[in-house]
Amino acid sequence: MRRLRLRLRCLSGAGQQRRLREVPRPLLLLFAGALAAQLLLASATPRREAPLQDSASAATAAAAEMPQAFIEPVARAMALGDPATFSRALSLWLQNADYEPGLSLPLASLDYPRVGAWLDLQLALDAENRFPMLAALHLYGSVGERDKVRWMLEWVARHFREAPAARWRYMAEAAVKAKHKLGDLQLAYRLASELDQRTRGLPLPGWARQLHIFLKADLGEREEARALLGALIESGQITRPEELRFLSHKLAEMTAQKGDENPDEVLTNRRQSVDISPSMP
Amino acid sequence: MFHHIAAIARHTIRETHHGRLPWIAIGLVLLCVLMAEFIGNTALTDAEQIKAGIVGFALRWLGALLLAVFVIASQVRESEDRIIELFFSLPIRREHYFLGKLLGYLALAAYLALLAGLAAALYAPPAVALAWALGHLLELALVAGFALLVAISIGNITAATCAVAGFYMLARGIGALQLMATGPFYDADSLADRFLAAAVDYVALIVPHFDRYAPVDWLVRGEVRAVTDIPLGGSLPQAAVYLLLLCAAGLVDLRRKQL
Repeated sequence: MRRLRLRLRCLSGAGQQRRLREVPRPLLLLFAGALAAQLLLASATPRREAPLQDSASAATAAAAEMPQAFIEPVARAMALGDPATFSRALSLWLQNADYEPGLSLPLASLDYPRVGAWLDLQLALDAENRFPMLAALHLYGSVGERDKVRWMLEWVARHFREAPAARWRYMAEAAVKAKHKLGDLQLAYRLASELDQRTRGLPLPGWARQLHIFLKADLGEREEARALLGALIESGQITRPEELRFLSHKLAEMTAQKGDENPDEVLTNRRQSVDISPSMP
Repeated sequence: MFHHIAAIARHTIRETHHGRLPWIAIGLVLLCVLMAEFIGNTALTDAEQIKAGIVGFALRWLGALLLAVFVIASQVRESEDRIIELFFSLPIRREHYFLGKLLGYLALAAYLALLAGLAAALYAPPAVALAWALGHLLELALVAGFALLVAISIGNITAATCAVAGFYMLARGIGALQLMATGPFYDADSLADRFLAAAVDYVALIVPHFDRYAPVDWLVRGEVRAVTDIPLGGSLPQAAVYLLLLCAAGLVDLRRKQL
């Protein structure tokens, strides 16, 4: 312990220092006075954050100040060899861009093409950065302005096409959002249908694969939805018995509403192939 | 008294010449301007603003870095070469030595701020570039004072450089830290959040707010925005008091030094 204390004294240089009382008193007073002045001045300085301004003009002005996104080569140069980290740093910055000192901006007041360009850049720097897709759906795609939500859903669709295997979940969410948030069944169907088309051969869960069929039914195009569902069952992509049973039930429902013939004929082959019977629980 | 201080200040300024520091600074400024021109010309829009931003941002960091490294290296070398002891063997008071050295470093800070201001004036209105350069000078003056203090106290280049870097980054980011501590995710019912916010506020009392001294935003927007941000209004008294505090701390430490 004594040795440790000695070593600490050597490290801090305390052994080479005179005692504090040997320092002239005016000098100590000067130090204490300067410290007090600094504390007083600092505590009297207003904090940088001003009271929240709600005026629309202030919000619009601040929103207009969101800078243009860098072009990708410049951003890569700025990343100094760490584009993934830089991409996430940009994500953090963008996440807080609506919260400026003294001004909390509604997200909808932001310039969406500019926001989209920043999100593009983040994905270009690191395609595995999940923030841009999540933010597009759940931050910028959750505002009250329908046009801006639609703009973001289209943005998600555009980036889904670049990597369907990695981003199918976001596309499915976009389709659901189009239906429930916008009430735009046409858009929802288009997104869900594209999801199905571009992920053929990928191991997608059934709910994502069948989304476009039920949206088709919601659109009132029951005949077409019934045909799609029948084709899906026929295709052999559905292998889980309970899923197949659920879809068969839906197909039967659609057929009954249409007043059409029983779909048993369509199902017989599939039931046999996955070995299920109507008596199964 | 004053001729001692002036002589030591002159000696310090001569040292910067021997170290080719003026030329290194000019070279760095030219490099920043060329870099800004190159990157700015690749931009689709806002090219002038991008150039102003790059020049201001890079010169702020480089100025502080260059000054701090020079002050620390110079002081540690004087200490290791026993030049300080030689000074103190002469009829020179320790206070005069400290103030003379500080004055010399402040002259260097003024030179660096002048160069940065000239470069900024290429992309921003002269009045804005002047206000920015003044703010930058205040910032550099405090960096010089702090670097002198830690170089004398610690006497080790690595440790002193780390201390100055930490001080500078903290002073640059303290405003943002305060905002983050009470930002949108602040929970007034959480003890941890309240403690953190209070801790950041206390730290803010003892560091200068460099984020208000010379914001590059001024150059980018071409205007000095808030009245309280003008160096001669808000930041000058704070910088003056803080420099006094650094001087007092440095003098107390120098007085306690057993040579």
